[in-house]
Amino acid sequence: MNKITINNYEAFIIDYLDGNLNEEGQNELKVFFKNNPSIEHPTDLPLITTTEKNNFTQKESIKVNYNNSFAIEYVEGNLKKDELLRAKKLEAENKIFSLEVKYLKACKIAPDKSIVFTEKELLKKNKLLFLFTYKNVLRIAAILLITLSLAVFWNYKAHNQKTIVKNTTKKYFDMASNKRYNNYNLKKLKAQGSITHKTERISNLKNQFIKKRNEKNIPQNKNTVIKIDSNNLIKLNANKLDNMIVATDTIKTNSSDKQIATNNNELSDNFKENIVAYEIEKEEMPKKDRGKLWIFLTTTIKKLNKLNVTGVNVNKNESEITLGQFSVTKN
Amino acid sequence: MNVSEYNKCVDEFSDGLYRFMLKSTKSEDIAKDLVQDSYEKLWIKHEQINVSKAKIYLFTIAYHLFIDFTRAEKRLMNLKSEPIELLQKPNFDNNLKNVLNIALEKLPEIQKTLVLLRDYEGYHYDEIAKITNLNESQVKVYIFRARQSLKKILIEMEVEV
Repeated sequence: MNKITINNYEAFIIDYLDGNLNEEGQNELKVFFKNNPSIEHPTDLPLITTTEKNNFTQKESIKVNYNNSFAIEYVEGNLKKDELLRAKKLEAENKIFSLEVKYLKACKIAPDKSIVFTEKELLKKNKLLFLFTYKNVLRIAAILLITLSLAVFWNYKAHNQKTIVKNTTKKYFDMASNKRYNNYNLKKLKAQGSITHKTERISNLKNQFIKKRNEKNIPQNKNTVIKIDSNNLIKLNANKLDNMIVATDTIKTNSSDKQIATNNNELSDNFKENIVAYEIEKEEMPKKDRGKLWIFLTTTIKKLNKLNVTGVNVNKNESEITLGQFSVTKN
Repeated sequence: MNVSEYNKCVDEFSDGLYRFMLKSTKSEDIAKDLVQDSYEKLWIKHEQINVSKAKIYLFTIAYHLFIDFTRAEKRLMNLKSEPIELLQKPNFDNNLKNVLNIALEKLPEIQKTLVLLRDYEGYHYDEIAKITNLNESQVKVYIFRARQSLKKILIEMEVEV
């Protein structure tokens, strides 16, 4: 419906007289005549005549019960939730507010999307061209300089580094003599024929022992104590010794019919199990040999300690091994 | 912001910026020049600008260029007493779009700019404040006044909405 203005109000009166004007139109016409008292109109029309019976019933719909900025804040989307609900209600019920909102919404200026900037390509930059900007060139130069400096430094360092002669001396253990040799001496002795039997590198012995121990799952630090008792003269506490694999061999004493021997149970890895045994045939060992035996025994144990042998085992059916007046007892 | 991000800014924002400048200056050539100048300034600083803030930075540059342009133009007009070229001659029928264009031209320059930033680009008050170097309250008041003026003009001209 068109807005009633001074130019078209007659058309509305005609509609009213023809019965074609609805209630909303009639109300607007009333408001229009009220607001424009100078306009001539047929006063006998019941529509215009204000009587007690024909009071305007939609006053609330045209009251302005909101402040001036409320509609603008609503259109701008600045209202809080409760205010927004009130504004929506007002928009639905209050014609003045609704009209004001309508005008304000019309005031929003929509961009004309058909207008476009046609010279975009002129503004764009070529990626490759700007790869070599001043800053990028500086960056590359800095990286090259650092790389070059490092290369020069490393080169200098390599040239000035003192040659470290690796100690290639290998140490060997001769089981027959219980002696250690380095590879130079051993080679020399072998060339002279002084050593004809097989010698073993100490590092190999250690590795073999460790391997053997691991295979047998022998626990470390079992704290087996071996007592070597010779009339209470000497006691060796071999705390470090545990279940042991003794690397030893048969040795001879000066006494021709008496010898110190091991139980020669050959092991594949040249180790012989435990035992230092002495066959004496119930004869008393000469003092001289006893001394040698003692030296052999203590030397062996010391070497075993050095080899990290952690214990000494005896045969299962032997709890004591007699060594003349000496005895090795496993606790 | 790297080269490809800068080029993306050209694709995404140049249309909006051009429309804003065109509406503000009413001259295609001047609008194009201002857009190009704005992008040149953006490019000079592109390494220091985060891509997320490129749009607002671009509009800030454009707005200040436009201010400089209008000041120079005013001085020139005082000397020559010739109006600048208008893109669209006002058409005094009651078409809403035409009336709005006329109404917009009647607004003070600052109000017009703020309404364009708000309606064209959908900027929030705080963003407009950053672009125009005003505070948020000032922006709100100017937009409020602009809306009231526009509404008044539409009602006065009995535009059908």
